Amino acid sequence: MATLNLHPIRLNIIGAPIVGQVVEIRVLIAHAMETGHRLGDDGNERIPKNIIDSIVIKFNQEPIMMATLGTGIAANPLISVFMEVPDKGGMVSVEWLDDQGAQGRAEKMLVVV
Amino acid sequence: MLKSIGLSLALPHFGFALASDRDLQYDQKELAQKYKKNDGIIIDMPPLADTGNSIPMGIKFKVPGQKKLQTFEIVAPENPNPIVLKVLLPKPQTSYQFATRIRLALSQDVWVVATLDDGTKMAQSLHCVVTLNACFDAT
Repeated sequence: MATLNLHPIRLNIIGAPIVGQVVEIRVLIAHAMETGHRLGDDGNERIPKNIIDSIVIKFNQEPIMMATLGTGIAANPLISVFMEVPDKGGMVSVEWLDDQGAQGRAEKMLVVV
Repeated sequence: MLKSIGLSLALPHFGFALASDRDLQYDQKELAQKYKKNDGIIIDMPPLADTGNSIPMGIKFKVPGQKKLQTFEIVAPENPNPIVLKVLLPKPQTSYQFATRIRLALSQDVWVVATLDDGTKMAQSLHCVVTLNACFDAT
């Protein structure tokens, strides 16, 4: 049975997970990022502002990046950060929260070779 | 100031947002006077973009000396809400890379202002020409 997921999230780790190397953590969230400036279909009322306020990327439950987003981030926000691979692997996780209270999270295991 | 009045007259329903959200600290000229461009920041962005709705932007930081990067922000002074993004690094870094996609309302200089762990600031800007503006259209 298909599940209803309004904001699918994709978390990828790109690069060779070798100790000392740098890997890219790329997060892509499906979100309209309404600026509050667009007009609705009737041409009179504005669509209310609804953007992703904050994104936190964690490694083993410790934040490695905390971002506050504004209306200037494009729809379907893509955030990519680079991290040096630690001695031991761990869990990379992402959490986000938007203006209307919707939230989401994703996890991916970083396995060190 | 004149510019914001002109815009608010031309687009009445945006007038309030522009007047209230515009922070004088992030005026284009003030930014240029306040911050000296630093080669420690490299902005990777197309000089000409077909649409302002989604422009890829990459930033590379290389902090000189013993200092470390603590926070940085992307500022688009001509946007209705000038602060595009604020990033805080819990563990300060000597070098850092970041990439995202931004919206631009007009052709403008996009600024990256970084704060180091001793409180000093580094800044860099890049001009981007946008052929189709974002934010101000009703689509």
